[in-house]
Amino acid sequence: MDISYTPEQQALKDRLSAYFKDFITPDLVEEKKNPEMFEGGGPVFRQKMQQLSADGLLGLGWPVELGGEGIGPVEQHIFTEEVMSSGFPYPFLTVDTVGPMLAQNGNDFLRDTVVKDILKGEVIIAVGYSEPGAGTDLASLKTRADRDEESGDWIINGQKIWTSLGHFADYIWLAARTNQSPDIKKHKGITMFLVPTSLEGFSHTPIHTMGIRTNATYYQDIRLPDKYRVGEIDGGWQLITGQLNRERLSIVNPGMITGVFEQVCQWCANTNDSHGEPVIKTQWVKENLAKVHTGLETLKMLCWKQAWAMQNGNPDMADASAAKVYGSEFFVEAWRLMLEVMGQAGTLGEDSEGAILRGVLEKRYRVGSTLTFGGGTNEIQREIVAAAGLWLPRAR
Amino acid sequence: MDFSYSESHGDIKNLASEILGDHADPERLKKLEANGPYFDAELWHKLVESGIHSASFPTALGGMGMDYNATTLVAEVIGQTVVSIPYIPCIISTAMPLINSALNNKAVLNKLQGITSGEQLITTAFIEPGNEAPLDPRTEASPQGDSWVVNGNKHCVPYAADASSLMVTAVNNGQLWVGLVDTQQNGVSCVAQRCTANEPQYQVSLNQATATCVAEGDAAHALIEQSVAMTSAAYCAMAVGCADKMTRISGEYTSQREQFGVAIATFQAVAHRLADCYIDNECLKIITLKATSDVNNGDYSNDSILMAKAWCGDVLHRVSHAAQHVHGGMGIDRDYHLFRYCLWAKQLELTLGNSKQQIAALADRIEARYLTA
Repeated sequence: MDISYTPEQQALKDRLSAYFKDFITPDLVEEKKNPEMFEGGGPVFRQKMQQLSADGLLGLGWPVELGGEGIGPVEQHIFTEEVMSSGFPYPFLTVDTVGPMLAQNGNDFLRDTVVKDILKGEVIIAVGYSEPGAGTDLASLKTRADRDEESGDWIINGQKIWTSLGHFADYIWLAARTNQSPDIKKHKGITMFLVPTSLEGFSHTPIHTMGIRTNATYYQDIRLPDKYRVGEIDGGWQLITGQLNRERLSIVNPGMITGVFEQVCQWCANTNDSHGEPVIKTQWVKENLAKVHTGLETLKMLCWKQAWAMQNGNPDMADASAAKVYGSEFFVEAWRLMLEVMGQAGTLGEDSEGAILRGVLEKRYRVGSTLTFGGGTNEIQREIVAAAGLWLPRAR
Repeated sequence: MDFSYSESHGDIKNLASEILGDHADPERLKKLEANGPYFDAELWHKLVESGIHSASFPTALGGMGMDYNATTLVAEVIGQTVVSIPYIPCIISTAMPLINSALNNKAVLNKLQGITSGEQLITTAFIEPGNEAPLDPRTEASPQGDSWVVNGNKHCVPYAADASSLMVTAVNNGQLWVGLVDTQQNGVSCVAQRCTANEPQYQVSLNQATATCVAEGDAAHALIEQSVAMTSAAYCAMAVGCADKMTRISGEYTSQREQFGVAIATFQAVAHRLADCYIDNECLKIITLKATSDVNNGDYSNDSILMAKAWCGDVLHRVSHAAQHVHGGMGIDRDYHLFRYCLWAKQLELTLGNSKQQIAALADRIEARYLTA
């Protein structure tokens, strides 16, 4: 047992940490001020993605046969932590979750085009799971794909909701019902497709949330060639759960906090209170910081262990869910603890005079609440923990 | 990066589970504890026979040359079985930190060899009435001829009356001093106390007690810092075993207990409360692993040790009360086995600094770090 980074992993971390130090340029900061582009999608963002690819940093942990560098999930995790910590709107759903699923399960066409383009930093994918009537009960989704027997194409009709990045994504990773038979279990009649957003019949409307812009997306008689199908017909559920397992680890990446925490500590040391003393000398302030420090270190170790388990091919289902619940709820608490130390001025937004640290926490707390229900709501994760971790009997 | 235990670590843990498990039958424990706090000499003897108790001593001292991590695995098993043996006070708090001193101090060498053979038992007095700072004792030591005498009061000293000697902290000329005191002398008197977990603990009065000096000044500071770090992380490991056991007992009980015609574990409120216990313990496990690894690497002042102890207190408190709650009255019945874990949960939470004290200590470190940066 040695739970620290190997010298190679530490060197990678140091290299990436230096690399991302100046990665966030003023033009990107400016571009992100546009609420439409807070999560990416603008020209500067696209250019940065291509730069990451050119520097060999996308798909670092993907297996070589899938077009990556093949240095493993731990390395991929190190990369994701550093890129997230920098504040770059890294499209982790595309690169860390859907991408590897496509590389593993996609046909030759998809591998030669979409997967390669992901690694070139040229493709962004949005996830099309939730529907107005299907959230946590995802298998009850109604968006349908019907086979045109003559051409073999699929005709897609339906609506998705909360399709984040859908307003600039190049593809939708879409779950659709392909078997309408009432005799089969509802999760057995779902197939996965990759829908180019350029196709006729695709449209989106914005949903403005408290934090980010997301979308409703519409699929009206979209004619989709069969080469855009991923995996077996009616075999989509396994791909969905596979993608969600990856997503669970990605969305609680400690990089979400590490960079901000460092900035807040420095701010507390460099800013004086009304008595002329550094803010960090106040007992409750430094205790808030100590609590974040403790929670963050714990999350880091949980994620390392998950990445290590993935590397060895045996990630534990209960542990992955436990990490997701803990991480997402810790984030919510951490934003609060850090915002508190700024006082009322912490409520000033990015675009306001007097905003602290560019209003990063004012923004974060508004955005961060999605994590407890996104990627599989925490209640479902607790069900998984109860069943897989404690062998409790299930209801029903 | 490797989170897996080696084969020899696995062997130690399995053997400890087997021996301790054989002696942790609730009926047996109930008989033993009928007359109050007790030292399970029969079990301790078995442990000595197996050599597990001294597995992490160097081979030169009769041990197996294993590392500190191995001792924390035994500590975890103690948490799972809540048996009453002086493993943590004697081996982890005292003997392990003294290993280096044994190389050039004959008296210490003799004690450690005596522990290996099972003839000696040694324990540590960390705190005093009204003073719980292990590095800042009020007890005084002064030289007398070739020897030393110690005056002062210690309390909550585990197994003091069973021990042949005590590792004692004191001050001499404003400097921290650490020495060994034989218990069989007129200057030492032990009065039994009753702590919540029913571990045998004693108030120890030292009145012109003769002592051998082990370390002074910086060396004494380093020795006690090491002892506190090793003990603190080991109590966290014990807490992992204890919290895990409380959660599992609750899982088994609620899977069988029926109300409204169904097992109560099928109610979401119950299942989620236990899932939260599981998640809490996952966090405690991982941060404890970080702390024990740091201690194993000789880093006795890493933040992780404070962090782990902070989690330890919080998790034990939450899991203990959740476990009692989902059991209803059964959970607190002394004829049922859960209560021993709950008592130990509170004991461990309050021993060597509660959660808030750890956070406050960490807060001071953060302040110092960023103000000097």
